Amino acid sequence: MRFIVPTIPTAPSGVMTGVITTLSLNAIGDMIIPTAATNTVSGGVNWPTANRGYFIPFEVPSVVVVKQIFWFNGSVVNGNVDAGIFDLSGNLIVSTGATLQSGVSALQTVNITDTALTPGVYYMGMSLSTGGAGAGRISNWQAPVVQVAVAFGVQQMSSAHPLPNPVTYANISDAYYPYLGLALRATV
Amino acid sequence: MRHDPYPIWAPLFLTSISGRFTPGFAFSAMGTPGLIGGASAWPANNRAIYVPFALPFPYPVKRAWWAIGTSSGSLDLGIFDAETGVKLYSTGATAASGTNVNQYVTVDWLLQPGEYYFGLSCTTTGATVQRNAQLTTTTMRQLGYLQEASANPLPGTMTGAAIASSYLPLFGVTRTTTGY
Repeated sequence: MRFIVPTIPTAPSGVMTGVITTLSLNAIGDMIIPTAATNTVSGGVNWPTANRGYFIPFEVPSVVVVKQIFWFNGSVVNGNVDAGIFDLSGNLIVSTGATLQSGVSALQTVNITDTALTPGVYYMGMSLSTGGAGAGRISNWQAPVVQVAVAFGVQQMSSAHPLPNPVTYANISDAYYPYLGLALRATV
Repeated sequence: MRHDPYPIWAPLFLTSISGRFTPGFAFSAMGTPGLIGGASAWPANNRAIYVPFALPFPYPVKRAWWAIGTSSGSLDLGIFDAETGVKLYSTGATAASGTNVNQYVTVDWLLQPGEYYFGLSCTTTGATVQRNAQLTTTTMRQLGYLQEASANPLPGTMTGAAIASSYLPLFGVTRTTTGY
């Protein structure tokens, strides 16, 4: 057997660039990018079910401090978003609290208490208070099939608005997951 | 069994399409991102498909899995040393089970850093598996994918041949024992 010197980044790009999003290599971008017909994020799909929360796994290889959480509102804004960070057991580390959507087709950022994350795997989660037709829209990624999203490790929870502590993870059942991000800098 | 040391931030899943560990980003950069939009029939009875991957850190393998569509026959998932072709682990022939689910087999093994092939074989074309069918065989050959006939159960030493089907199955391992 030939052992190799690590040539694959051990500090994945999301950490090095100061922003960790759904599509970062240290989140599920590692698998989304090779499986996406087009690497675009849509803002045109309603949140599937009111109060449902979605949780995206991401890796932290070195200590980081999260200063803001952000998402991108779609073409309809009429709900409250709660976004946060959880450990693998579902314990809440920090969240924005229920926050009224503001700005159509616009980036929305929320300052949070500066929160240090030690190396490990975490989930960034988001829930929206309204779903179905006319619901608030969040830029999202539509997974080709649910089975693939499950293979990415994406989780969900019903009745998760505001985000509870702890959350109870279940394999995702929707071909949908939100685009959200964590800022390690004071300005996004 | 607890496996130390391994990086606590190691990803939960290593898959046959992971961009950082397989040629996933390479084929994306070649203009053929591989939409996985449905399961299709395994390309030939008892064929194994080998996916190269490189692991820069120890990884505690707790489950092996494949994305079954329609269950039929048996599947075998293995990991092979890339230099020697020797099989280091396999699930053994396992009856396909479920419909449109990820089927898991329990493992408890620490995979050391190195260069490997994932292997997945299936006894029958009656089974369907989620797959990328957009890569051409020419692209797959350039990126190091291989195949082997009459390879279920997976052999003790793989003998890779040029890939002949546009078919990259979705499968992999996890470092979690349950759930996600």
